[in-house]
Amino acid sequence: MSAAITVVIPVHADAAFLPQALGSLQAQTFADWQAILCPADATAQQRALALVRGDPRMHVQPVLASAALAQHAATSHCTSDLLCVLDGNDVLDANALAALHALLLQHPDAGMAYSRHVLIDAQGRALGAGPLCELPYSPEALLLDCMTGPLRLLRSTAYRAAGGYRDDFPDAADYDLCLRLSESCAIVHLAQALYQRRIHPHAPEVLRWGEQIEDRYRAFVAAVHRRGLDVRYDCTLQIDSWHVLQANRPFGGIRGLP
Amino acid sequence: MHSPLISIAVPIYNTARYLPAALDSLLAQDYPHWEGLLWDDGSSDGSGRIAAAYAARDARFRVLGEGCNRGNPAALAAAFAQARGGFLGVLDSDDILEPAALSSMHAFLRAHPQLGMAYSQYVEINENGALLGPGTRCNTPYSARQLLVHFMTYQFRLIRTEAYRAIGGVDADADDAADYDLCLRLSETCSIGHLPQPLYRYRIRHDSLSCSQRLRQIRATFAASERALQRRGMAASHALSLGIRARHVLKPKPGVEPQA
Repeated sequence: MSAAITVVIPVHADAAFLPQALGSLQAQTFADWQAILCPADATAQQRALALVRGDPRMHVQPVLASAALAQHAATSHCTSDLLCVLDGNDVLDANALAALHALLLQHPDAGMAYSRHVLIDAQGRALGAGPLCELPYSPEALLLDCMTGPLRLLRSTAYRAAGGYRDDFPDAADYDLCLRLSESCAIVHLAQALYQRRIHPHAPEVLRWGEQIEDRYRAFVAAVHRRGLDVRYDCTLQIDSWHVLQANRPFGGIRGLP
Repeated sequence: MHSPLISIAVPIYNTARYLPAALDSLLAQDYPHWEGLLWDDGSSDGSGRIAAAYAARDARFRVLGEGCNRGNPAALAAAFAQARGGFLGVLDSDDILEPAALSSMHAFLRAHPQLGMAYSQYVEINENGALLGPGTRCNTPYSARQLLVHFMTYQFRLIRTEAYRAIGGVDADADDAADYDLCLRLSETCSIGHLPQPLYRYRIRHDSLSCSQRLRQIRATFAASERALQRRGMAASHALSLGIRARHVLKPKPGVEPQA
């Protein structure tokens, strides 16, 4: 089996939003895809198996130690020309795969295409535009802000040439991959919001914000070193934090994360 | 009337470069009735010897410690447990007090007997002691509620010992937010006043905190605020959120031409 696009789907522990994620994939106007679901634990695996039953395009792989390892395993044997990640909490716009596929057709030199995204809450209500995806992309700007995502369509050849997913920075595996891709191929951007990223009290961005900041910084330092910029520049991390107190709100949480 | 004793805790951990300036600033106070509780928290850079030399020179200094590193909150709690004064303050071992710090704060608390704690303004200095500018934390007006979201009761703080003991003192488990946690708990039991005079020089150090330490401090600060929300019975009606912005920065190395 070799669909044009392999969609890798990390499935989180409770898999609470997985039906919406899978539903949005099944509703794609671009039909030539297959999906590999990467469950975080045995419960997520059982839930995923139950949900994909009856759709031969979807496969559930065994539980692995980390999301990065799982995504690496999912992509290492795939024979599709194109790869994409759909987080099991998130939702694709019906035209997402078609639009990014068309963009890569227009740019045969590009190794990756990405779109804008919006944030939604647990109930699917819009929270606003993704905070970084409107920033202009360049390989240098990517060192400072991760604007390339979360929806990305990658050529398998570019993905493999860049070294694929690694487990060096497990809480910043996507950012690390984008940095390496930006050093080896062209990246193009579609200024349309084609993806809904869900932010809720149990989202990885909320539960592991500190680890994500640390791993993103370490991936940045590694990229600066690869590019030889550490001869002329020192790397530092500036962190601002603030508390917000609001009346009549049921949940607090973490704000200001990409 | 005899002036009361003021106990100043100086938690020390590997600050040999800055410690003499800190202790000299205590010696230079125009208020003579103080004791310096020099808690050496297991320093390995000679800070302990410097503290001992100051104690040999002036009996108002007492060198304390257990020869191991217990962390700042535990060091502060242990130092204050030995305090004999009616007022308590903290001088970080890399910072500096202005000569009138103790006299001004004591006079302010004497003029306002309803206050359990008072705090001043501060200025920021660099590693070489050069003035960087006024500290901005204290610009936000104090209220017990505003303290939940903004730590404006910064240095220099002077606390009545009975107010400190009434809340159980420094929480040695408050991790890297022990001073904020202490102020939050004080704000729930007593009045706090502000003396808008710069009486403290806070040193900005490039090696102060690693990324992990800074994140731990942010977590501890937010956790202290969440605990306060619970204690105040506001958790059912209010939500506290933590805002975070992390910036990757490339700084040209000194003496090296940036890339064209």
